[in-house]
Amino acid sequence: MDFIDKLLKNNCVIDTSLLSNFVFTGRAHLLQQLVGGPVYITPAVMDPAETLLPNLYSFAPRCEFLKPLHEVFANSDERYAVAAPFIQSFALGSGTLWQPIELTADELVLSRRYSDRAIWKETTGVDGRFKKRGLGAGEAEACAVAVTRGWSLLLDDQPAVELLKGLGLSIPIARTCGLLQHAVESTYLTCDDAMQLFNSEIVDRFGFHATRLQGAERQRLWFRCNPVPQCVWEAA
Amino acid sequence: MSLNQKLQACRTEARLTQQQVADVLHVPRESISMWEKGNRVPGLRQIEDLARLYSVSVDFLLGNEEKGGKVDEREILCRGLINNPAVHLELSKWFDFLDEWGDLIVDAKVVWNNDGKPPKKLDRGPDFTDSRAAPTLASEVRSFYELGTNAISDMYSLLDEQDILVYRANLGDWSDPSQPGISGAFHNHPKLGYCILVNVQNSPGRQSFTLAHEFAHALFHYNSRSLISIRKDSSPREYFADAFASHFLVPTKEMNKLIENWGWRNHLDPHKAIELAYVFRVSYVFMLNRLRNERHITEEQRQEWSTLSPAALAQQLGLDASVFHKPGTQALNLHRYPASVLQTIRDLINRDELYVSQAADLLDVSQAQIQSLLLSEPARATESEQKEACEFAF
Repeated sequence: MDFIDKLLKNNCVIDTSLLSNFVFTGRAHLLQQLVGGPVYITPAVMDPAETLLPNLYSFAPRCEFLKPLHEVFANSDERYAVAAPFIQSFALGSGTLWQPIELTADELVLSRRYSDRAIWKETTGVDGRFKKRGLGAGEAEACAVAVTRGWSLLLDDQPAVELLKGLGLSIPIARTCGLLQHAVESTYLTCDDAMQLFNSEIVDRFGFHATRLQGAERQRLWFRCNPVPQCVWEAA
Repeated sequence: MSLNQKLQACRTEARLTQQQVADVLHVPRESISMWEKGNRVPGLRQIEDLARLYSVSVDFLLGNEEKGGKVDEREILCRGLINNPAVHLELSKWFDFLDEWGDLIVDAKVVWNNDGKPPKKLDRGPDFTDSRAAPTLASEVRSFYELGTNAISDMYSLLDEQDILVYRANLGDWSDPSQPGISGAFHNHPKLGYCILVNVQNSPGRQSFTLAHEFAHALFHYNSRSLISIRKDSSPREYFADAFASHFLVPTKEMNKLIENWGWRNHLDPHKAIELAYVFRVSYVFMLNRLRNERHITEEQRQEWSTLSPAALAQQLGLDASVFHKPGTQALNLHRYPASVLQTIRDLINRDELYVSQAADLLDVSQAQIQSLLLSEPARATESEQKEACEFAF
């Protein structure tokens, strides 16, 4: 876990999915504990200007992290109704729980490149199934910031991982399951709690899409405690 | 020219104030000011919306591309709607979605049976506008799609079955003279064939009419790349499409048969008109027009009856009044897209050919929405639903 330890000592920029996994389950402070301070967030993931608008429920916010608030209003999904207060209180924790990133013009241009599917033409060794579209806006901005500023990435998105690898960029990346493993090793969380959090809450309850096809077999990512805390792919 | 200078110049050219842009983008006006002064840089989502609103490309704003050159059709269409920037933005988003969806289904080799031309049997040429033929053509189209003569229960499903992509959006209020909305649009996309945009702020009955009207454009005006339905457009194409939609949704024979069978000839009143509108799933005012055109009621009656609230009339008869309600601005999310699009997205994600973040970006919804609604296991049937299933286990 030296790798994650080292990665977390750097400034960390986070994407929507990983942030949502911690915040929706009420574990924003665990994330803060792991990172040792606020995580850095780009405007496509959370825009400080949108967090200040009074009618957050009545229109669809452009930033990804706040969208579920509006969707809860529209769909009355019980799961997200439970998560809504966590989303709101995290959004108001600017400066302590999170720090907004102001993109530079160069970072905006780079984000645009990463979000355009034409970027895949510049990569080598990437499987065609990742290339159907460019990166989502949140992932594109997070990657652009990490690349430009030399920061670490907290991100689960496989196309983003493949893109950076395909471009020959070695950016340190940590994912949800790896961070929970690190949290257990750092005694921030018991292994049973981490297992319950990842397997039952993040994946089963909130539907985090932790599956992949290996040949013809559909596999699912599990957090396991035996023999040691670990993230393992097993047949779904 | 730097990004901030371009943002200011484009906004001025689009004749929009900072406040108008801020209102449409749901950001404080100060953000627009800071972007234009170069004190801050907008995010990727915002620069995309600004480009849509100003009818320029993102790459132009970011300095990777010269402006001008090819002025595409969407720019011309969108500029015509500059009085309502929110509608302009929605229209532009629709065009972008169609381009991205077209690319995706070609790449993923998704079967798509819409080449932008009508079936041979229905083809009357690319720009047919003789409205006298509309009743016959409406009947032929019904017969071709085996729809019989009864009411069409769901225009959305009918069009989706034909691979005609119908996209829902909030496109403003027709009756607001300061910010006029549009009821819908038709676009013959190079990769998707004909596609339809519909305003969900209208009542369901009015939406059916829009869909039938745009369907007429698709079948009989396929030479046009794009047509937008705006109020009081009396061009021959629009007149034809209106006539087609009228007869397609309410075939004269069927309407007359009902009126005869129910003994309503010469005894029509607003309540009977609302019941007919309910049966055919069309709006009340449309039904009144139809009755007037077939001389079941007079113009004076039409005018007088149209002052009554359709929802109130429906309620008095115990009918579902929601059919006649104008729902206002709606939170659409995944409901923006037809079932076939969502089914395809689901399949692609399950085959690892598309990822949740990419799908969320394409559909402009949160990843949570994709995970919780589109991909999650459906809830189990309730006990009473299971009992109903047992009832049919024969």
